[in-house]
Amino acid sequence: MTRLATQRARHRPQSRKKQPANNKIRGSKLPRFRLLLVWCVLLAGILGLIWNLYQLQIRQGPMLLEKARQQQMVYLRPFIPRRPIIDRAGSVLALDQPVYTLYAHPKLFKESKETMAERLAAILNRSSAELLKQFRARDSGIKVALALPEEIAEQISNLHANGLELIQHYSRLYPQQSLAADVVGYVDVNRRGQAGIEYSQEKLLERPEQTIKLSKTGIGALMPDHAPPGFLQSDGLQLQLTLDSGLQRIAQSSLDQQLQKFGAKRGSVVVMDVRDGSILTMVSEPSYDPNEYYKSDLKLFQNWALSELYEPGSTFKPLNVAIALEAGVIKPNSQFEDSGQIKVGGWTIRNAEGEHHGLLDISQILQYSSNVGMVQVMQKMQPADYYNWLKRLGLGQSVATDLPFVAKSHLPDRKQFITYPIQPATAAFGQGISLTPLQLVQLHGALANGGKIMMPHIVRGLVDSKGNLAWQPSLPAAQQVFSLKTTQTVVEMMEKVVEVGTGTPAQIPGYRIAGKTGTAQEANSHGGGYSSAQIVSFIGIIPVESPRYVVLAVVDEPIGNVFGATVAAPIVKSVMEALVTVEGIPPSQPVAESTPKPTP
Amino acid sequence: MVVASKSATHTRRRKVSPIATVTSSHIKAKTLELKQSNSSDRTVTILPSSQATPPWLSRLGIWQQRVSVVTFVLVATTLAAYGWTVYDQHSWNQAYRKLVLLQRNERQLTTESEELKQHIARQAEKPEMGLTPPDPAQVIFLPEPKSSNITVPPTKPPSRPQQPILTPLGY
Repeated sequence: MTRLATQRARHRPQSRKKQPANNKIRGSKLPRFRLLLVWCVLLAGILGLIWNLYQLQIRQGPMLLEKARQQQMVYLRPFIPRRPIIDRAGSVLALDQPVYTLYAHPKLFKESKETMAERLAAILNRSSAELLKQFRARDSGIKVALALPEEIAEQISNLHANGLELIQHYSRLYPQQSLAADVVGYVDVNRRGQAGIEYSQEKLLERPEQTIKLSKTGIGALMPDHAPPGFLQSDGLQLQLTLDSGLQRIAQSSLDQQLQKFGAKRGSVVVMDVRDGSILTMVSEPSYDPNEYYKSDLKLFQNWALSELYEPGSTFKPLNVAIALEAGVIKPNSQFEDSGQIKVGGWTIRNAEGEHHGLLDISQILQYSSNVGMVQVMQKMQPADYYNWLKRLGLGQSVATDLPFVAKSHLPDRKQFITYPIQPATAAFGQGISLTPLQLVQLHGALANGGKIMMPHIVRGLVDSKGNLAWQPSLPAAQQVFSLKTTQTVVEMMEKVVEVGTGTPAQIPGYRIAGKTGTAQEANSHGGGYSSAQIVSFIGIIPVESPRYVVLAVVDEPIGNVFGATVAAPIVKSVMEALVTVEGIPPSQPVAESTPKPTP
Repeated sequence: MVVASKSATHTRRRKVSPIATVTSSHIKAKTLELKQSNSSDRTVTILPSSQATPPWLSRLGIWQQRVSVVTFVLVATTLAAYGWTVYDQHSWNQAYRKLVLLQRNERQLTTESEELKQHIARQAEKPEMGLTPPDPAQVIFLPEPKSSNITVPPTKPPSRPQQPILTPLGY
């Protein structure tokens, strides 16, 4: 440049010398034209750039922005499961798992359908021919596999193959299968609770699913720029039940054994802690596997222990005795003549076996389960008073509890009850009134805990990962219905039933157990009267000196010559044996040595 | 500008004294000599040895230095901050992946342990396994010790042996 400039400078004076007039005009025109040309080119360039900028930023801006977002943003669904349900020892009864549905779009395959089928067959453990057939059927949107676990989904995504799509969703797993199905319930495909705790505690269990937008780098690494604060902190609370899986299992297996042995239709076992109303065990058989609820009969989804009524029969007698004692119409040593039958309002009432026992005191009436004796005891009361007492105990209402679909117990119409003497007479031995097994447990719980009606419940609360209670349900205050003295007297009478009466099969050496058998005729489902089918039950209280647990076993329609003592009492016994060891209840009296004395 | 004027003076100086390796004082002396010797012939106007830089220029120079230091610091900080954000995002991403993996492991562990529990329980129910349900007769209940009966012997501090030490203390 400098060189040229100097050369030009040298030439200029010479040319000026030669043609001084003409060159002056030409020399000034030429650079101006060039300048203009350069200026035009540059201006055109600038205008072109501005035009392009306008196109990119304003005309195509939103579309391009969206495209960029699509490439950079990733929609993340962090795993926020429905809360797990655990038992009182921390064993998991229900938990969420992410599962994947695999879709194939063969038109997007970069490789041949055959190769893809072979590669997938190895991972999915299916035949490649079968997959190939699926791929050939349609071009896109083929549902290849459902509910794939995470490991397999990861293997598939590691193929980095075009035309395969994995959609994540949640599945509820019930690892204990049918063990606690009646209590826990199940969730349907829409993840809505349909039975049990899953239904009634939906609000506690459910947590909203969040979708979070995150940016990602070119290599696919996530960037936390747009992450909302605290999206990683989920509380991790679990819903804890008062249920004991171990005890539940023992109850289930001994109930199953008896159901099989007697060819019975169904059965139920309930164990309640009388001090606070918490339920340790609730089994209804036959049950279903909540993992495959869709394969089960709809009828099984109802928890029989609280959704169906039955006539309690003789298991209701101790409650009647407590009512009569509390009302002051009888004394524990009052005596009644049992001649085997009694006429009430034109009807003849007999004992179950048709036997007569002669003069009986109250304790003996319970021991022999005398219907005739009980009718006379309750005849001491005004029917209206008796009716009020039954109402006070909660008959005619449904039990307040945290499980869903509780049936309302049945009490005859007040007018009928007072007018027709047969009504209070049948109620005296637990017929003509009907309630749920759970309500019977609740009422016997009141006998065991000194007269307080507790709310039977199964939810302990929400606990964190360390087992600390974060939330507890507020339970209604217990309602005192009987005095401590009355309940103690009745429980001691019931102890005699197990010691020497009809309940001897429930004895456990060393332990003071109170109990009562029940054998009732089942009411006809289609109209009045009774069918030949029977419903047998046994209710036990352990230990008598300071009652802690009520155990009820009910077996519906056992076949043969059956009684509460033969069918239901062995179930209660085995559950109580397990209770004693699980809860560490010491024996009330030293166990007699069974080893024979050495002969001299 | 400054550089150009300096070189100009240099060339002028060289015309006066061609020796390049002489010191500045030497040059001054020589010019004085020349001045004195040639004063009679013609007047030599002494050119200023160097143009004095105007104050605004020197101030600007100082500011330039300062600004370049600040610019350097700012650029370095920006690069460091940028590097830190990239590193931070990278480590966040790694930590997040780790968290997801750990959560998955936890889930799998829970599921498998519960399924194992169920499997063992099912096995134990089979009569051929020879396991029996818990029997209270096999449970031993230890009576609670009555606190009044337990007498703790008073502990004496171990007394020092009164006997004279036979072994010498030092070796």
